[in-house]
Amino acid sequence: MNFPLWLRLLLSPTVLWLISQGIALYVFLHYTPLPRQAIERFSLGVQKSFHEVVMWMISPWRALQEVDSLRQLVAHLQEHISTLSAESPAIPFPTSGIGDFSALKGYRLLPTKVIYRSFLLRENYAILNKGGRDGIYPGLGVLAPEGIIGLIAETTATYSIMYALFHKDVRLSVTLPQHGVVGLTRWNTPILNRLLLEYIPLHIQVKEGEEVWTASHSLIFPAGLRIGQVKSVRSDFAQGFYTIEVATYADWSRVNSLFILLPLQ
Amino acid sequence: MKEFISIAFIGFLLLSFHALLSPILSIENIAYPAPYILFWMILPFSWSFIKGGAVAIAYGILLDLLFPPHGLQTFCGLWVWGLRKPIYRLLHPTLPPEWELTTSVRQFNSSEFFAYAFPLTLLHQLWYLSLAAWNLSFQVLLLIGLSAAYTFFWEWIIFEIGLRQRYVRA
Repeated sequence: MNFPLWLRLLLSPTVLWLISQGIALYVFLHYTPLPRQAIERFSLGVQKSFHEVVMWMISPWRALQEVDSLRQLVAHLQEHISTLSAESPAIPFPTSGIGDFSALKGYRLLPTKVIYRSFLLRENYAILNKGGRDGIYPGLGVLAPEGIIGLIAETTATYSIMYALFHKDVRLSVTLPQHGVVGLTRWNTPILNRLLLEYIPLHIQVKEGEEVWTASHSLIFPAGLRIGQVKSVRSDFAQGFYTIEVATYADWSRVNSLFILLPLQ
Repeated sequence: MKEFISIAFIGFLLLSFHALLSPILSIENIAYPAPYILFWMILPFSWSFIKGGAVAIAYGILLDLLFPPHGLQTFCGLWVWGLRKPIYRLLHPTLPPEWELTTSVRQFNSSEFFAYAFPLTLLHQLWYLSLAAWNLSFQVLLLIGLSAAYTFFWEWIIFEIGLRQRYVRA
């Protein structure tokens, strides 16, 4: 029987042997933690180096963007300080030197830069340019100037991996401060900058535009940091809870300069 | 069929040896015996690529299922199986055209067996231990060398006691 050339090549002993070896090696590398972690770490290291070069090339343009956002921020802070009273709620910005923002007491804010951020994954993450040498360790919270954005998941000596709020495994304990009820966030949509807030009971009257803050139960974030605003409310009568869509203040597509929350010893 | 059953029986005995005796015989952090490698070496040269390959892979998968890390036994075993003919040809450069039909590992004398089995055992241990430890430090290299020598020692004993056909060659 005359087989086509590609089939004869595919069925040749050497190719079949190589395919079998490839499958066996894949199974080993996929199911054994040590090499899998080493490969992931190596590929992240390569990714980090590549994006550092890219970041260096576009840094003048990013610096101009940063100046613009800082101007807006100064204007916002001046406006906020002018209206500040003793009852004002905590705001999620590193201004403890300016005002009494109780949510951030007991924490130091370490500035960091985003080297790379993923898009449209179910497990969105960012590589930050601070690592173990700067005192960073897994489990720390990360703030964008507008609100909280994620948490540190892994660290090496020189860089860290931050899981975004828009990561399928990240769930935060949050509260609706007007009602004092606690719920959990979840991200299961492909839409960035949107979270689902679950387990808010139906007897609460939730309105669009209400603030969502971190709850006091969270071990990662202090209570009272802003996350976003209620965008839409849907009643799930079968479960007895609302399903609330929250628009986050932090914009994932614009994260650049962030702050890592380091607890003061 | 008889040959196939005999090979399957040897495979079963080698697996049993590995499961029952290897933990007792291993010298912690110095040398680990793995005489089950012998199975891939004694597969008849006369078997076709497909038949020999299927048996070699099946034995590797069985080992993988019983003794993690999964995939590594098949990977290392296929190296042994794939290189045994080239190594034999290297040791005997002037082989007749249809040598595979007339030659069997079980006819080897001790020195032939050493020249054939030790490089394959060393290769297997080099792949297996370096990948399992995911490290190539001096300590691991030492472990590879000692484990290969120790494994060969047990392979040689098994070969001499149970596998060698003495009546073929005096």
